[in-house]
Amino acid sequence: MRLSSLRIKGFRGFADERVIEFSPTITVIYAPNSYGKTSVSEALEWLLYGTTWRVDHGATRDEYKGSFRNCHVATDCECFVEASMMTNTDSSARFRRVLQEDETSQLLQDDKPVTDWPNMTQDQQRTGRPFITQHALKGLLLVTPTDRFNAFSQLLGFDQLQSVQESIVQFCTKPSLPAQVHQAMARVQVLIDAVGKQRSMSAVCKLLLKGEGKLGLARETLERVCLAQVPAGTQRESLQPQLLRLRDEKVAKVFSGHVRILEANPNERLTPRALRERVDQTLSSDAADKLAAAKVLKDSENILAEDKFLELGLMLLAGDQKEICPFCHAPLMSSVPDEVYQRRTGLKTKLGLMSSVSQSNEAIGVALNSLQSELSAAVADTTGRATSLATSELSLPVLETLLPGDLHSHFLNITNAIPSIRPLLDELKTNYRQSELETQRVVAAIKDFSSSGKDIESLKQRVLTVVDRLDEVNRVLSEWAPKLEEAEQTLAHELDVRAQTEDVSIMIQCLDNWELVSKVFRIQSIIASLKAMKQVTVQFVSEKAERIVSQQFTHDVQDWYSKITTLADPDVGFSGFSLPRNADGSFKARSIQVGASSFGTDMKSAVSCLSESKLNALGLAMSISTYLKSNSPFEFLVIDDPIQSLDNGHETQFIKVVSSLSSEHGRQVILLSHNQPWLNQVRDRIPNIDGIYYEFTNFTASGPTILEQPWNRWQQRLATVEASIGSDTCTTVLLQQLEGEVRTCVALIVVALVERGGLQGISARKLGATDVRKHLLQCGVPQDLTDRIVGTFANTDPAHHEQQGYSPNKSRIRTYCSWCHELAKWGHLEAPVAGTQV
Amino acid sequence: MPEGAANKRQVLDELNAALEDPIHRRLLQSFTGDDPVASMEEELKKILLEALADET
Repeated sequence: MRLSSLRIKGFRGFADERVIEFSPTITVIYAPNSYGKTSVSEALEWLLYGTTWRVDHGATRDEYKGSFRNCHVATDCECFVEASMMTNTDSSARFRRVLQEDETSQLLQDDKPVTDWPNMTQDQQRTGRPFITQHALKGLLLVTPTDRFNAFSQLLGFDQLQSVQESIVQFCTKPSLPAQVHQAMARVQVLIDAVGKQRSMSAVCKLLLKGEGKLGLARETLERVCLAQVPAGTQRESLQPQLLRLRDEKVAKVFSGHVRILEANPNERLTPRALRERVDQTLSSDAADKLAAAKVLKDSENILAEDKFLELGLMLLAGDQKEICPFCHAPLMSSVPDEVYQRRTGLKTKLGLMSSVSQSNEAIGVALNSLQSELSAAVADTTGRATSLATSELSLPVLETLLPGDLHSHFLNITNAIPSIRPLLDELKTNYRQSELETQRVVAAIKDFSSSGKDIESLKQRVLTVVDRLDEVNRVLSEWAPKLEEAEQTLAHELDVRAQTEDVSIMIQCLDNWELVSKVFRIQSIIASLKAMKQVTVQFVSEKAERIVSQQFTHDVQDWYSKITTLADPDVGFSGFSLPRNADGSFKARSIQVGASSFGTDMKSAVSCLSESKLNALGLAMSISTYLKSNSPFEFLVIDDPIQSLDNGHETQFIKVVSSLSSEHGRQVILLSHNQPWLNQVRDRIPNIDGIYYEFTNFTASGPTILEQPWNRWQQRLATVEASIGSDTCTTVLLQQLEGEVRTCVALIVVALVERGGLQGISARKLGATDVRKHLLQCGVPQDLTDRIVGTFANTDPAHHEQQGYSPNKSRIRTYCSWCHELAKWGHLEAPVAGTQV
Repeated sequence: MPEGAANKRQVLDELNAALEDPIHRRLLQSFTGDDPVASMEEELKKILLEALADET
């Protein structure tokens, strides 16, 4: 985006509205100190970002509070900065930022509120801002290496690198692990500790402690140790059963039994919730309704008997003697066979209904039996969880001797668990038995059509009672399970001690849990590898930062820095940026040194050793490099007072920088300075660019008086055109450009004539052919000369170049130049050219 | 943004190429959102639980 114009009202030094139009190439603004020059650059900065560098970096923000609003405007007066901008697609857009009462602001695009600039990323908000100001230069250089790093960080995008590094280092240093992983690791650690206590397994323990890499060897060693315990010739796949048998035989001599509560069956169909859903489906009101309907047909046996009787009657009446009763041989009326037939046909409907009801009853019966089976399985599973504990009740005296002293608490847990669990189990069994009997009764009733809906409802209550009991028992069992598991393990250990099977038990546990050991080792390996990830990340970020700082950025800054130096400069100056390293070669965090050298010898630091002018040149070079490397959507660059502390030679060098930014890098430059002689030099040394030049000539409470002045005097431009025509290397393109220059000269001479006559406020840039003719005639220029001058002005219009048959030539341009001289001579134009007030 | 540092995605892509361990690459690919550390921790949890549940 390029700036077309800027409107400022009520902002900083601009109380009343001012409009500044910009050249697409270079706009130069001269203003003495305190005439509002910096207000222009700050207005643009505020328009773009809603704040300014000076306010953001102020030591005390309170001092800057309210500083955006001009002190002469009323609080209800609208304060705004508005810019018309040309986009890359040559469309224009108007952006306006309005200052709110609370010092915040609202950005509008073509009068519609927007939250941000179009196509501008967060990164672009922060880096490569199109402003080069003195205080920003100081912010880059005259700060601590850490602050400099932070400033560079923002400008060069280090903060992204830093952010990535910090996040990954934080993650890799102390990663959060899921509870299951913690539990698995703890289990394996307990096992390894146990292995370490067995002398016969010391070799296994040593290998396990070496980690994942030695796991295969550890397994081989474990199997070898295990094989030594079992009968010779035992195959490896039979190791585990053999060891179990060996241990069980030895332990059984001391005690046989368990006290643990088994895990609940993971079968989802047996969960209380699944059972309740099944009960609701099977013993539904629909089933009850069907059974009630079936009961109405309880006289089905009579229907069947009548059907058979009528079938027999019809068969007998089908013979020759239809008029005689086949049972009592009494005479019959002739209509009787038809009546029997009709009655039997009527029964068919009832028989069909009976068949349907019968099938429905059968399905309900099957579903009830199925439900009962599932209930039976659930009850068996639940009671099975505590079978061992219940059996151990008979062995309590032995258990008490096995768990003496410190272990007595485990025995107490066993003795307390049994009375709290047993009654619940008994009650569950009783309730289940009742529901089983009730189910059998209802199923039988369904078969003979005697069941009603009430049967279903009462059965449902019984079954749900069983499910409730299942819930309750499982809850209590789960509550006791951890304590009894501890008791079980303690008991197992005590039994191992007494039966001298500790090592065998550990071997069995190792074989049992080998897969878990393997997985935990894999997990530990993954976690340990995060250290390597951290190292790679830190190394990557450091190297990348160094590449950016020491190579890319140094090269770019050197390039611009050398443009500002003169041939007379001593060999003392900036030598590059570097990231300081620690003694071990790693990079010091968040620190950037600015190097300097004196006749090939490194100096302590550019900041402490270089002169103010060198530092200023370095700051300019850094700012320009940063801006050009950015993908800023803004193609303009505002340079505010760049030559402070530079001598004449370096001032002249910086003009080359300005020219290069415009012509080689295609940037729209807006240059502000209080140094008028230098700005005159700028305009003189960049003559071929049609720039705009403003002077702030006065400053009152309402704001500055802004005059637009000609970029170059017409005499100088015309001399350049004539010199260029004499060149042997004059191309068609250059000739077209020279025609454009002639056109500008005509406009400047016309404005000079008009202003000499006392009329002010005419801009040479805005003149058309009609205006030129009108002004010339008003000034009294002879008709013939007027026609030739107007013709020159019209024929040097860029649009004229596109006409068919047109081709620029030196002869015609020479003629145009001679006519310009004739007009100037006629008007005696020797006096300085006045400005045009904006 | 200067071409050297570029944006975060580009930094991550370059770092990804510098990492050799496929698990580290997988973790880095989960570096997303407002809280990348939490995202990576979530991915690490998945990886560890997969290792714990691995049947091979």
